[in-house]
Amino acid sequence: MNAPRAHLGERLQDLVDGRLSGAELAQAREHLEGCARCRAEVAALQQVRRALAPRPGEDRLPDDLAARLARALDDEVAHAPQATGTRRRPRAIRRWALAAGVAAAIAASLLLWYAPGGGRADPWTASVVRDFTAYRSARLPLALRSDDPAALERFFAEQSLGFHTRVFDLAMMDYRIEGGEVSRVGDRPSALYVYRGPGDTRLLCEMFRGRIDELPPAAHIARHNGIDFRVYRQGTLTAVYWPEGDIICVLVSDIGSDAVLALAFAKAAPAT
Amino acid sequence: MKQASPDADDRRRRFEAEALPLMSALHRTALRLTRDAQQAGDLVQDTWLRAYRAYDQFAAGTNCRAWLFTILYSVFNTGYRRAQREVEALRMEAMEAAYERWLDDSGVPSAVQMPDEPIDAMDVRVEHALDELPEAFRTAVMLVDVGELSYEEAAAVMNCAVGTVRSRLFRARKCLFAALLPYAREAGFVDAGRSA
Repeated sequence: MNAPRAHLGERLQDLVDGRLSGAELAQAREHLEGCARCRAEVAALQQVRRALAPRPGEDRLPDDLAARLARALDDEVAHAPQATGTRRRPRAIRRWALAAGVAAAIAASLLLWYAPGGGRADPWTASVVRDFTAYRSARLPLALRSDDPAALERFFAEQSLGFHTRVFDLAMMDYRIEGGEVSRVGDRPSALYVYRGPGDTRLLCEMFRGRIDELPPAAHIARHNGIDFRVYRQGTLTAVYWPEGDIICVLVSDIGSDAVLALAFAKAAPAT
Repeated sequence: MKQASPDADDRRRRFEAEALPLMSALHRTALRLTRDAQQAGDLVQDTWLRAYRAYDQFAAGTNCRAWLFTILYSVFNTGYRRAQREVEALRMEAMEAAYERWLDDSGVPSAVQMPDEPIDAMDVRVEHALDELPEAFRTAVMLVDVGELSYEEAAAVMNCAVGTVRSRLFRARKCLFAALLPYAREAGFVDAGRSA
């Protein structure tokens, strides 16, 4: 084997940081095939990056800090002089604060029942968690990509699911619809659609025929507008179920149970 | 109760839409800078408010991430930075030399075999290793590896050329690896027989 003529040095860092392309990338790869020293250097640089990379949970703003920032801005706005010389109070709780932090207080006040041993993984939750995980890692094929709720509703109507699918518009909560497909929850066909939210967060909704009492005991149940919302946790994910007639709706995300619950409240509100 | 003017509401809405998605990266960096959850929260809140007050000076369409990190570092430097000792340039050169020696001995690709997931025991050692870097080099690593800024964004925050960021980052990463080598050897993640 011929010895490489020169080691790549900083170009290895460009490679590790994804800053090489085309001919440069091809040349670097070719060099690496014959150079153990440069391969070791690539491994070393990758290892340092890994040691400094975000740790679990660090890729999103903690709910309490998000709520704190909202309050700070409320205070700032309230005490800042207006152009007209008047002062004002904030008119309403901000959308994102509701989704992130203020919902914690709402959810806590409506907590009906808490079962520390509850919330075991069940077939339905296993299905929706599987779908969410696939979506988050860009492995979920979406039959229709659209940010139009009406287009998705038409799509689901054509799929002969046997029930009407109401696609919720969460734009007011800064969650934009990305698309949908037909999936399965347990042994039942489901209408699945997904949202992308602030900070590149993801949210998945599925609707399917069922009765809420088919679910096992929940980690906790919260009541809002006369509807009971059942909360299940699996690892960092939260699934919130509620009934709409003979249809079950479920929201899944890794944004924290209070935030998922707040979004579920917002989605269910028009039906009350 | 007085109502907000449409202009004020629009200003806040635009600020939140631009800044909020970036706050998790700022918080992550603040945690590493202060090493204290309470102080990190305070630092992020101070940055957030200072950015909001200065939002009219932020040019729409320019890089909001670089702008926010510039403010974060400004706030950190003026109110949160711990007393720091000077890091000797010779110390850094010695670490780089150790790295080169290790590399020269790396005849096989299996020389580095660290676990796929970061391990908690390494965290404090990573922090100590960061402390061993001169300020400009530590900042480059914090911005790119912790804050996940591009080289171009980091250059804007550090007010230097992109090539300078690249060079500092490379030297800093080599030193960090050399500083972590003894611990990696203890844990059996690299070949204990190699010199450094």
